[in-house]
Amino acid sequence: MALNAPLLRAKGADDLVVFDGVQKSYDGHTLVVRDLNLAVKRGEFLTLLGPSGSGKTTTLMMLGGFERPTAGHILLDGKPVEALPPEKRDIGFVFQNYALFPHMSVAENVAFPLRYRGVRGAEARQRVAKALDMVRLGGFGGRRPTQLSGGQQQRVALARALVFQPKLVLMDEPLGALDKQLRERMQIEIKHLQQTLGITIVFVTHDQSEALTMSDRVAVFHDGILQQLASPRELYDEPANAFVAGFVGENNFVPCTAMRIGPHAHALLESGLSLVGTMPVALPNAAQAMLAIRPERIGLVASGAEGAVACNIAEAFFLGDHTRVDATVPAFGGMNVTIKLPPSTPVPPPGASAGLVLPEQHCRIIAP
Amino acid sequence: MSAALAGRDLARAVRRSARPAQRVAFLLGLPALLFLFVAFVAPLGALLSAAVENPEVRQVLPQTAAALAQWDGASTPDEPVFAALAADLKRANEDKTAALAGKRLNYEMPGMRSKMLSAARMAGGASAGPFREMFIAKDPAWGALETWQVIARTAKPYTLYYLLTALDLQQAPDGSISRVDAENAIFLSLLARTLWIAAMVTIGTVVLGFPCAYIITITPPAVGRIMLLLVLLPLWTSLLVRTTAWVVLLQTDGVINDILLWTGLTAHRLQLIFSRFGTVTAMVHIQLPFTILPIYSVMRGISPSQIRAARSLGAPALSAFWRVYAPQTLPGVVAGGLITFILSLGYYITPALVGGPADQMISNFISTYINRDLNWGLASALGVVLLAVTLAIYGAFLRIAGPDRMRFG
Amino acid sequence: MMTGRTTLLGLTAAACLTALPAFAQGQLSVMSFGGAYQAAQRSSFFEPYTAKTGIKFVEQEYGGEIAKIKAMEQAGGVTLDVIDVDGPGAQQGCDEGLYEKLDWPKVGDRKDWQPGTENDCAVGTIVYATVLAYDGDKLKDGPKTMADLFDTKKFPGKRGLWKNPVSNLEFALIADGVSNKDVYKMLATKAGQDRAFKKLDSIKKDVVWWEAGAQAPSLLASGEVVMTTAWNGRIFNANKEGKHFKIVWDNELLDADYWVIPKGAKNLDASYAFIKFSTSPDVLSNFPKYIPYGPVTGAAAKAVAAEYAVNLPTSPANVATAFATDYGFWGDQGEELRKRFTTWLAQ
Repeated sequence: MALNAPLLRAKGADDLVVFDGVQKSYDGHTLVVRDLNLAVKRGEFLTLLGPSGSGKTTTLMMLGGFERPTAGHILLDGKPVEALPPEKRDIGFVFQNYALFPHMSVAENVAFPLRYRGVRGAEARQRVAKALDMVRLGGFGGRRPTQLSGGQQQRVALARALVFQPKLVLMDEPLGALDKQLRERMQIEIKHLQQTLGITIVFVTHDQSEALTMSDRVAVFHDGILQQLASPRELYDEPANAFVAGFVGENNFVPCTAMRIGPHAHALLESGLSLVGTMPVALPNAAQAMLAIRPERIGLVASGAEGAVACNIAEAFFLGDHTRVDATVPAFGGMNVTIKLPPSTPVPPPGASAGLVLPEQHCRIIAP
Repeated sequence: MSAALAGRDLARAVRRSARPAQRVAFLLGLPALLFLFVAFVAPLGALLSAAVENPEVRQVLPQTAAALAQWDGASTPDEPVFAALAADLKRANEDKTAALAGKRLNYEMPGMRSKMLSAARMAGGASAGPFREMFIAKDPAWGALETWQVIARTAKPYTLYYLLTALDLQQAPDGSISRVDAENAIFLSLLARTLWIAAMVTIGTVVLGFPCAYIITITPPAVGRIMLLLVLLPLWTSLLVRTTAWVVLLQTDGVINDILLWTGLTAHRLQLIFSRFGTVTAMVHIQLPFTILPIYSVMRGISPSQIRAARSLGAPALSAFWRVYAPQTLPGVVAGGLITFILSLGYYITPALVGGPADQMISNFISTYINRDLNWGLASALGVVLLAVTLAIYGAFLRIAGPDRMRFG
Repeated sequence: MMTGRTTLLGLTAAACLTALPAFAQGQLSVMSFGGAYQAAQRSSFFEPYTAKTGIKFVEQEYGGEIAKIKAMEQAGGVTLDVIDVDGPGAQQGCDEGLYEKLDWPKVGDRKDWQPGTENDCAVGTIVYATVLAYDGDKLKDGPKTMADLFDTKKFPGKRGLWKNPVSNLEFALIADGVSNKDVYKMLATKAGQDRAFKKLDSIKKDVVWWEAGAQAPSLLASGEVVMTTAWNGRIFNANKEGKHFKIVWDNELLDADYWVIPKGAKNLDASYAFIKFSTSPDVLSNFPKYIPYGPVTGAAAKAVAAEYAVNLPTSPANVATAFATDYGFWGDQGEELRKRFTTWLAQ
């Protein structure tokens, strides 16, 4: 112990949570989470992002103590917690539908965790009032949860999960039930609270824009596998693979063969065209790959311009903040490419020929 | 035209335009309303009126009833009343209806039935008065003030007799109301017994049904559906069949005693049937689905994240269940318990077949008075008392629990 | 078989001679007690009558609740033509005017009926008895007298009794040493009633009460009771199904069943004709062939075949200590005794 403790701390003094080779299977053979290695830093806002069935919620439930890993360890503050029941983990949890207790008033709901920590009487009242003030619900303590709006209920759930100052707060798609405007306001509010209080939050969502808005880092899940763990910008600009590139933001994909020639990475297309790009993760030569280009990174020039790839305009839509153009590219095997142009850019009429500019630093050659 | 006036016109126009739709809605609801009236309101009215109606003596002794209307009630009536009685009884003797009035008088004054019958036979043979002396010579009771007070009372169109009897009260000939002697008092203790049995059945079904509903709620849906089917299955067999099954199980040579003996739990056969234990057990079994279903339907509506939230906030498993889950099931428990309690109050077949004499409930007595004793007035009065108690309990529950604390499904 | 057919032929011939007039509908609605009893009526009365006249029967069953008859009459739609009622039903219904007052000459000579099995609105058909019975397989040395019913020392265990004051108060007094000739005289007094209830008190905790006739043999069969009072036909039928129940004929209590015509019946002549037919000696004497209940008319009783006569409550060997239910007494005193009995039971 005396030997181990400093070692562990030295290994990841900043890591509040460590998933170490964690696996989870419900039926004994299908793995819902496969070999997960992931560390959550103290004070960090980390989002688990992925489509439904990707294993992100199971991961959160294992961390919360509601599911046990089939293999591997989860360390909380350096100590393994697999055998620890949820109530002993000191983790605040905000659920998808808030899970407020309908038979208790708002104040009773918020006071609930304090009761189990021996905080009673005047001190409890004071802390409840403070927590409600913090989520701008001072004076609502006497109401029943059912008398509140969705956003207000959401904030009560937040106050309840924060009032006992847990070392970690987990949130399971907490904003899913709110309308778009309210959701965006709450995203910012939660982010502000997290920054002011300096708490660690692990947040689960399937909404990539929510993940990008709020997170310090995002862990993208697919098929029970952690695909990429990175900051929002990195995730967007340097997706590790086609899934991440497609799930986070919009992308155009063209099948290709990866080739490294000298310092340059090349994408060889079936039509014989070779494009120079970047390779965020090194791929072996002649590997099957995808060329991924964000629609807003593509330029549209007159037909025949130098270095441009010929295309035919199929359709164009004016969308206010940008114009979206679909163009057919013979060199891509007749595939359609989507282009987002600034709203003021003139667009040739459908059927017209044009040229595509594909900047080298935005052409990502990634694993399919 | 002012804005306010326009607003009022507009409101009227809206109401007018809604009227055809309302008429259609009313017509659509009409069959249900009619059914409700025929199947519920009308029988209830008949029940209430049968508990106070008093037609027998007026029918059989119409002239006497008319003559008694002027009687001062202070002393035995004079010859005209006796003459009217003689005329009435002469007719009654021919129509064989004297016993009808005799039976009614007998309720309030034991022995009057045979006195009426013999008086009717006498009147049948008599042609001329004075009748007063003739009646008193036949039986001195005809000269007693009490006899006439009772006849005058029973000749009124309505009577309190049945309702008083159902409450173990009696009315003396002079009209004063008192408790009946302890040895004749049965109905209040019967009512208490009925309430007690219903309460035990309710507690039994809740104690057994609550865990059952919970298990159905938390098992995987495929298994839960089968379990729910098993709960509902008994409802598809008739009440009589299920009760008879309990007779077979509980009887002294029955399956339960066989098992108890075989396992050596008891040395000799136990008296299980014809006992309170048997009655309550069989009723609990029969009522169980009625208690389980509302509890289950409420439990199904409680999100599993409720317990998880409580656990994550620091509550140990039991505490989370008790403080967070259980209180939310209360509307279902109250509704299921109330359904079972109220249905149990009216049980008839099960106590009759599985219970002993000390386990018979109000309905068994109602049935006896209707079928065997032809005393429909008392049967109705008992029904009225049962109805009043049921409504009172329902009202008390609503006050205590509040309508929003009860959910039937 | 041969005799049966000739009888039928003879009856058919007689029917042709009497030239039956106005059976408008050609059918008759009857209500009886169901079960083996009604089946016996079907075989001995209904089917021969249909064969003879072509009149079909619409049968209903009930449990002797004359409340049903009262309700039917109050509702105004009397659809029944003839009803089988028991003794109390005959007495009470007659007293309360539920039945047509009979024109006896249309039925037969009232003097042919044994006294007490006829009155102004009911025609007796058969006699049955409330007897003491036990299971011969379980009890080798069984009870011999009515007194044994109350002797819990000699015969420990539960006993079944009819949940009704009728029969129990009588048996209690007899077991207490009263002769069955004096039973009703005694029961008419307060002291006699107290004595009967006191005797019942002595076995109250050992009694299992039955209500429907079929319950008595099933209580015996299930071993729930060591002995029970029962209606003799029910015991006989249980034995037909392989039981070895024994009947103690000592102090058997005789009762009759009756035909009555509900007041307001639509087809009086047809009702009378059927009652006359079913109580004629040839027809009625056939009844015990199906169930051991004896005919109430002297002529029919004599005509019962010897092999069936032995099982009847009225056979010489069985009838020695018999006595009959006094409906007059029960009509007068029934109300109070019933009330006292109900109260006593519930306490």
